[in-house]
Amino acid sequence: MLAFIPSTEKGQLKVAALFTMLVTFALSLWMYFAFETGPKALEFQLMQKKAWVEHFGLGYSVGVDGVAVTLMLLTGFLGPIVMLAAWNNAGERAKEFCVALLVLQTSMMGTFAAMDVVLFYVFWEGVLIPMYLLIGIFGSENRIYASVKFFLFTMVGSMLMLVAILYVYLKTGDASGMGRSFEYEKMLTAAQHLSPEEQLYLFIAFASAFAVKVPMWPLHTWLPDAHTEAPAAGSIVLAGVMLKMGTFGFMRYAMPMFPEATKQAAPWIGILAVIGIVYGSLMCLAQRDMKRLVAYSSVAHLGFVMLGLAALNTQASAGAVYQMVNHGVSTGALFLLIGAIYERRHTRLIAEYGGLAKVTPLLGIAFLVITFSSIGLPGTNGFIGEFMILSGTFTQGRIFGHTLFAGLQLSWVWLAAIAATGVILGAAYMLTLVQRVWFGPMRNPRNQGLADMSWREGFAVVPLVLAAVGMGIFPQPFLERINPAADIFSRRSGGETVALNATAEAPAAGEGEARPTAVTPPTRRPPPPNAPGAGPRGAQPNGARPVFVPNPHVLIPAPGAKPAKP
Amino acid sequence: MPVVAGPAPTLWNLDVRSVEAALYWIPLIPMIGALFNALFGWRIGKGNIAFVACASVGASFLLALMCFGCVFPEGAEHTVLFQNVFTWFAVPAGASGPGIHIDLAYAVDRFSSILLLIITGVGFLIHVYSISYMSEERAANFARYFAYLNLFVGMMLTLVMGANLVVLFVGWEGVGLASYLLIGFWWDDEQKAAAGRKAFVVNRIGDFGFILGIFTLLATVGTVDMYAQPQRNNEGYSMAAQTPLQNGVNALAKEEPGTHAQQVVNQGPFRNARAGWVLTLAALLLFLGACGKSAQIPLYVWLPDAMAGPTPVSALIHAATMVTAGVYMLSRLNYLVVASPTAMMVIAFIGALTALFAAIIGTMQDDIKKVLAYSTVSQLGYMILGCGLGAFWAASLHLTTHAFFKACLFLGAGSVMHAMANETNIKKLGGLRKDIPITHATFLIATIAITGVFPLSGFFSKDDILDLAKNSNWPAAQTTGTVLYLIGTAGALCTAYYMARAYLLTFWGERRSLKDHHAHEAPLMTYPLVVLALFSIGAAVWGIPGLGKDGGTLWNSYLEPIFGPAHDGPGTLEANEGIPWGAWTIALIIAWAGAGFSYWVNMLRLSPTDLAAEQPVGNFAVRLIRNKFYVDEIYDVAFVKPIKGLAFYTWKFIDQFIIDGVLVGGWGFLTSAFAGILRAFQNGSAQRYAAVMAIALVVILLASPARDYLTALFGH
Repeated sequence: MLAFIPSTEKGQLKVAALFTMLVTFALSLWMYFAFETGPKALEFQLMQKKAWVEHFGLGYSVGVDGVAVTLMLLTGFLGPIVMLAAWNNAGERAKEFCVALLVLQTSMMGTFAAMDVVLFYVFWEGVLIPMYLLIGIFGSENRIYASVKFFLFTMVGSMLMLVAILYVYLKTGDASGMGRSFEYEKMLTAAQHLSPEEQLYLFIAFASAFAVKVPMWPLHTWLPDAHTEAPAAGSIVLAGVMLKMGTFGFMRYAMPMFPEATKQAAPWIGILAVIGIVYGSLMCLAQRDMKRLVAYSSVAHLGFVMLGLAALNTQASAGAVYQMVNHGVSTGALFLLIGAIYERRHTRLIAEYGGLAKVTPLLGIAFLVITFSSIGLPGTNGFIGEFMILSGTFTQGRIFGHTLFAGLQLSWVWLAAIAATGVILGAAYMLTLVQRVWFGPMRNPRNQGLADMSWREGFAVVPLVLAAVGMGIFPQPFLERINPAADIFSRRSGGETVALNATAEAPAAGEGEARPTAVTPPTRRPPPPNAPGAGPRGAQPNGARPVFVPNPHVLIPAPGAKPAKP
Repeated sequence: MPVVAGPAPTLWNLDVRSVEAALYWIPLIPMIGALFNALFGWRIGKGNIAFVACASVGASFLLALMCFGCVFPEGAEHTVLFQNVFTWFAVPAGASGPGIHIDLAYAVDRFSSILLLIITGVGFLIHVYSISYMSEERAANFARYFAYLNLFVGMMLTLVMGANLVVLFVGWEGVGLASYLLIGFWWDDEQKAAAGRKAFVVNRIGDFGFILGIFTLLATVGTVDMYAQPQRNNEGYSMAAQTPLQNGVNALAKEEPGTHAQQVVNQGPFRNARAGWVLTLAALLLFLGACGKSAQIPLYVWLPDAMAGPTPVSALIHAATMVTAGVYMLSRLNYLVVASPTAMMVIAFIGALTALFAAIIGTMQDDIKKVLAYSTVSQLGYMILGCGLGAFWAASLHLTTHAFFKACLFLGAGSVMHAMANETNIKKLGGLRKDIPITHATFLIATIAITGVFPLSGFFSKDDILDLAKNSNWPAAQTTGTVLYLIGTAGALCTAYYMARAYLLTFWGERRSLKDHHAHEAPLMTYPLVVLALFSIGAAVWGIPGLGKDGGTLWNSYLEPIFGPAHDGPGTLEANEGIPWGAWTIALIIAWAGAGFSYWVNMLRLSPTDLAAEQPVGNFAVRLIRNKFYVDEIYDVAFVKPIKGLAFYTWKFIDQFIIDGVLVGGWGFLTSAFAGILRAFQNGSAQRYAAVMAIALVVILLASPARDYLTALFGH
């Protein structure tokens, strides 16, 4: 849609983009409430299916479980905030900037919603290009290096995943190859029946794509570079949502699809996660660049998430999902605030600052609140996530199947205990950052007379601060949706075959829209994916309430994909 | 638990259920006050700020008084006010692992009701005092100060009222946050901001232990609910709440291997561990938390630095309430502590050593606030010693009396600073007894109380702990008990010395600096001093043996329902009966000896000119003590610097060199090298292509005969 607004009308462009983001947020919020809790929450809901390439059993198929719907809410929530944060980033190329952001938003939503593995892959890759552009064009000095590094790191993993997807696809259907499908549940069933060796190789292929994205130690070095060079908006999206695509991938695909491999790999993932926590926190202590510091803190936080997933039980994995959202809120807010002071002073070096609370007290208060959310103070969201992850990991009765190192029986209890040291280090580096930037006397005369928070920044920051505190006091509405999905995840990854009603009732691909498992408003019908003028989602003229519309930038329309009328 | 038919008696005809339903307001009101002052304080004027802050604490005090009325009377021994506000977070148990269910629940029993009164009562006095003390701050800072102080009160009330360990932990970290904010209240002073950060980070080390302790209990006992919803109906009901954690711990502590409790442990992560070992582990991990918050060796280092905050804050947070949270927690979990004699021994020794060590450092400090800070560390050591001995009633009595006299001392110090242009060096003060008489009188009373002179409150509370040391009930009790008693008594000697020194140098002799300064005291600051001094005297009533049941103390009889269950554990300690004349005599001699020696050294031997002179170098021991045994420096060299260095070199070497340079860059290099080779073949030069084609043709042509030849030579 933005393609039709002339690139000279920057104000209009940005308002339109902001409006689109707001509509997206409203829709994600609607979805969130339409998602039924209770026994229904075990299943995928709000399903939509259409054939795409029937011959290969490839369909446009979307739906959400409690995890996806929560992450989509996060994505929708951060959308308008990113737009506000980016208001002055775009500069001369506002049009490209807004288009890139909206395409990014579409692809991220699609990644979480896709129920067809190829569709997932298309969205997954679709995220790369706009992000590459955001860093490469709108970044700071060393942007080309960072963007190429980012692209190459993530691309290599993805290629392996594509091969693995095709391998699993060939195993679906019956012996003669009939009824093959990329449908998630079918792929899952097929993959779960593979031999342990096959599973291990396929798991490695999937995991390599996801582990880079998370990023897990030692594949993390692209992240500090990407974050440092990206514009504030890019950093917020990157930290807020994109990293969760990796953990989401583990949770939806890599681990439940290959339970045999997961059983073997889980302790190693746990160990790498704990290394990531301690190592990332240590790195933070050594940083002089604010953004780099927060980037390394992301490595540590995502380590918590991966530890929660690797523990393979409901409590820890529900905590992991919650922590994904927390990290999106708190790290997103940190990048936003750092972006705000970067905009004023054009430096990220901590040593350039000091005593900033004197001139920008409101920004300082927001930074302090978010800092405490980031280090998991009880009463903020970070505590709930970390507590559940650590407690779930610590209390589980399962032990490692084999001795890992000669004579040393490492167990989950130890992993949880070592991970908990990250909480101490977290306080150390974040409070050091706060002290060196905001407290103390003002030494640098160039910091005199900086403007405090503007209204625009206020509208972006305040929702994040409220979310950080609100989610710490009332986590239960979120957990009601997350828990069932976490339960399914841990059971499937533990090797249990869990058949969901959704699969049993869903008609074969190509028969049109699947019967939605959730009670949805009657007005809801599939939107035309390639209707003229259908730009980024949320811009439907006919008042239909689309859940997801593929973006023409990303999705190549295939013949025979006419939308079926309900 | 005995079932009481019908509602339990209350004071003032209170309706228990109404009070119960209002429980959540007790911590909520101060937090609302904090939020209000934070949001609107900058524009409503100082008077309104102070009113909102004091009124919200006052309202909580009234509610706390109502709680007290419900649990105080005879017949209400087992009344526990309980309220489950909402389910905080919960994950149902599944096939894949245990679930978790944490309620935001509050409970008030006899023990916590006393703490509620202390927090809101002393808190209220300190709020009133602060109005005058902070009156010179800008309105925005004034609002910020009271917002922090209210936040602290709210969090401390959460800590005390939490019905499970997780809610307690919320308050635990929440008071840490308030403490951080208040220590660094004057944040533009780098040292003060750094002191706040140090306090928070050191406390976090303790919290690390606390949270692992919670997990250990969750993994073995399966619950951390100290109180759960009582089962009640309308006719006859018990006010006694259920105590899941206590029941679980008792079951584990008693059962032998092979029984149900052991099976429960075996299913958890600590398989093949004895239940007793697990309980020891849990108790010690929680004790690490207590070491952080209650400033015990090795984590005490933050408290002396915390004196960077405003003095009323030191009185409220770093003397009367927050730092006693560790003692409160251990007393709250008395059944867990007594289940493990090993843990008790560790706790008792750490407490006793801290009491002595800090008292020794206190003898050489010149800053009046630092003297009081080390004194607090030392007194907390006595309380922890009491917990380790299993004498929770004595520890909690000392907690209470200490809250009164230490708050009085700190506020007195604040009054001195207010009168003397913020001078804190006692060597530069002197002769103030005439100028600020009320401060002088109250300071003297509190000094006598802390020194442990008959018949003030400190005498009964501290000497009860020391006396009980000899009764301790673990292996080799005779020897260890005597050692603990000696350590504690040595600490008491030092206490008498440094308190007398601080008092004498401040109030007696001649003024040694600021000679023309007009010293005066503000009325709003003296009222709290008088109230606290009266309580420092009056609190003795609770500790006098013979007034309570069976020849015990009033305090002991009153808290019997709370600490009585601890009598089931292997480390149980029986309370003293009757009056220990011998111990009392020794204690009195020690107190007077310390004070007298202090008078001789500081008043008779040192002349005013000696005091005014630069610090004499002194011999090795003096330098060691004056520099606080170089503990901060040792920690810096042993922990802080190595961790920073490790971080820096890991970043430079592993992250940037190995991973980014060798691995990532290596791939890049290999790729480009390979590409370079390929590029040589694709340089667009037709001649070279032609040459390659020609060579290839020759090779292919030759290959066929060559293969035939080779085949002929070697067979297949």
